[in-house]
Amino acid sequence: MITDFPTIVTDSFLVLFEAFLIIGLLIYLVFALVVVRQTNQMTETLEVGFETPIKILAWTHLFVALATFAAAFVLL
Amino acid sequence: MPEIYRATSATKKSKITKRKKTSASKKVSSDPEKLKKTLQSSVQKNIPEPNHKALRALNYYPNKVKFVGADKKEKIILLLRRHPITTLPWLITASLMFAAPYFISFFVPTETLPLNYQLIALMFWYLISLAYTLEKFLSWFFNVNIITDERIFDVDFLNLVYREITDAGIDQIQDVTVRVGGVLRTMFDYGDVVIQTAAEIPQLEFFAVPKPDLVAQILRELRVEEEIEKIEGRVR
Repeated sequence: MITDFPTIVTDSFLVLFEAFLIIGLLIYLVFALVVVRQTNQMTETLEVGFETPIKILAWTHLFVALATFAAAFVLL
Repeated sequence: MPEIYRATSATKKSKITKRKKTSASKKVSSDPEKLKKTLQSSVQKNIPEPNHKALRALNYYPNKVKFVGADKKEKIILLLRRHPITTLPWLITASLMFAAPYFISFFVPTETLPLNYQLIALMFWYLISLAYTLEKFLSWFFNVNIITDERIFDVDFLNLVYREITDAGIDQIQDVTVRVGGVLRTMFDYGDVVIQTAAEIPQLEFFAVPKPDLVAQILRELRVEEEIEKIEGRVR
């Protein structure tokens, strides 16, 4: 814990930091959704025989982002 | 009395089919081996086997490629993307990003934060690093140039929400310029192929593609073939 500063300062800092993380992760979640949508669009535009791994990658990325957001909600 | 031969519709049809078959067999681009033989011997050895590997930067007669706007009869001759060596800068950046938390702990007293905050901040940083890597990889993978026996395509995914597909007919090509400069480009044999066209978009550029001389030669052969087709009146 931050011990060298008065409690009000540390508490305010932690609240700000928490807000930053939550908002950041929320924006990231939207980005991960856009990645999935765009990957689908890309694979429809161009098929090169590597569509399944790319789609799996995009979906895994979305689930990891979702899990991190949920973890932030629970832990912070 | 002179003998007058009138072709019935059936015989006419068979003649047209025969002609079409002969024309098709004449087409050099219909056969990878035939096209290979027309090229200079110095570039022939650079041509990979006519099959398809999804992550390769140069695919000769790829068999699994389909794209929006392609004609059913159109044969894809080359699928090109930037040389793999061009991915090195972002691969290094991504590696540094993933390694950064380890080094940051030496300079910033992160232990002053509660453990749960540290954990979420660390996960957030790794997510940002992952997003950077994913975006760069997708951009490399989907930015392709396609040469078919009829057209050239430039597929650009400039960012996650913007894509641009440009095409021009082979017969519209006016000039092909190969640009290779610098140590890396010379060492790894990659460069830009600039194609001037008579189409609405006057210039198509294939950036940092492998074996640009081979690409230029194939384009030249296709232009010659297209000219012959025009003369013989068998343009599709």
